[in-house]
Amino acid sequence: MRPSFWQTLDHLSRRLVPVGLSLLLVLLAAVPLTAPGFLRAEPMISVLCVYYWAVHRPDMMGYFGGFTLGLLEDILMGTPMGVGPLVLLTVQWVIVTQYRFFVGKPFMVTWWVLGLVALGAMLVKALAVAMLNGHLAAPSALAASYAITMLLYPVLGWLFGRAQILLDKET
Amino acid sequence: MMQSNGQMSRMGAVKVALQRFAFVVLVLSSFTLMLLGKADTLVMDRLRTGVTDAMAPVLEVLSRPAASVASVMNTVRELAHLRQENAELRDENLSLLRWQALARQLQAENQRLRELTTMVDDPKPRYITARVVADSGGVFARSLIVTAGAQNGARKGQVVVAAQGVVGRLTEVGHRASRVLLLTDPNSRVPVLLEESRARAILMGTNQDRPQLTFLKAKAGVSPGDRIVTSGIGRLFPPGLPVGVVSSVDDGHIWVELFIEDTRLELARILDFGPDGIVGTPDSGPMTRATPAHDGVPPDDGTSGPIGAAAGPQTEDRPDAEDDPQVFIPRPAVRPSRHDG
Repeated sequence: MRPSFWQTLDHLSRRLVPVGLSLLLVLLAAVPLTAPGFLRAEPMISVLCVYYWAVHRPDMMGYFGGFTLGLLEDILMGTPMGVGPLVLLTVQWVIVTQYRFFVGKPFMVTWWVLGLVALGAMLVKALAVAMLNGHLAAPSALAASYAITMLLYPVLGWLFGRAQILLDKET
Repeated sequence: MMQSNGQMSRMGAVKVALQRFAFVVLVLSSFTLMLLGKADTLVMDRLRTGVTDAMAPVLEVLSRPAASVASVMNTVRELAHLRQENAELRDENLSLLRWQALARQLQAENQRLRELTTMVDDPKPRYITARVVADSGGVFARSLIVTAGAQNGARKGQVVVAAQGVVGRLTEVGHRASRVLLLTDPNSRVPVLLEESRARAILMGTNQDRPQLTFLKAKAGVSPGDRIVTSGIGRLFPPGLPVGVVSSVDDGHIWVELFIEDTRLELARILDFGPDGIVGTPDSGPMTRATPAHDGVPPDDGTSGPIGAAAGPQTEDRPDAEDDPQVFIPRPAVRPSRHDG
């Protein structure tokens, strides 16, 4: 039996949830935190999003989703355009080719692997930005960004996990 | 059954091939974007400003809760230090009253000297107040997105200030939003001078909180605490805008502590000198404008007011801007014996 128009629309909108949620998080990361006590730190939100979905449901965020996310981040953050998409596509490619490794692995393992992936992504981005802009990023800022990225993963993982449960129920 | 499995595997193979193709195309697109961005083409500029424009309303909505949280936290912090702050403000008020008396005296003297020398007035800016809705974070670049664009009179190159000092200048201007390149960005270069010695230098962004002073000839005379203001050379920035103070001098490097804290900015003001910019000729003749009376009460312009004081970009003509203690005077101090360009 062919699905009705509304069923198809519902199916498509659910498939857009991972990318939509990721785009919203990238926008939220750009919002300035002017409250006292907040330190200036730039977490690699897009890397976290792409990594989570590449590990758990690679079919829900394709390469085009990663490209869009990276481009939006470049535009909002003022980094050279193209660097973000390249980094995210590389992360997606690495994880998708190693997909079998992640099947049935506990959260701690995926967190540990994220440590390596985020480090690689950050270094590639820093190198690409340095080549294009002629300025190296401050090591302290990179370290702060890496630390906050790692700390945010359990929170974002929980959020994406809730979304994934809803999506899995539907499919 | 076997035929169906064969079809499925063929479809899977086609899907994998398509994904690989998409990956290669998108990677090539990324490199193309990087090359085009390096070439600084108009297309890339339009793409950036177009996306920023489209995202500005969303960012504005998202920034409201963050601003409200900041407001509550600030209130709590202020309440905790109310007594101490009150005592400090009383002392500061006494000191400022003395400065006010001196300033009035100097203003009158300045006015007389201007009349004697028939000095031509510098063009006076119009102010566009805009809300900061995005912050680049600071790892790879330092910029802000503000909710004022071409429709509000913003133009590329205009100077952005806050109550404490210079923030930066507009590098991308869309229809309803613009990007401000901060003084701390590695691509920022601002001609400045040391207020006391009048020695010229260039303030260079370092991607850290403190920019550096370069191209300064007499480094020996510089010491921590020296005030830095814009020199006006190159006519990108009007002269005399406060920038910061020298914070440390080590191994030939001079670091500057900026007056503004770019991570705490909620509102910013764009200086609009009209279509001719700072270079433009003033519309008023020599000394045709009388200095308005100073009532001592600064207008509530929202720049340093409470959160939500200004709902969006606001433009205002400020003929009496130079008498407002919150507003910078974009004209050089009258120094008949020397010319700062």
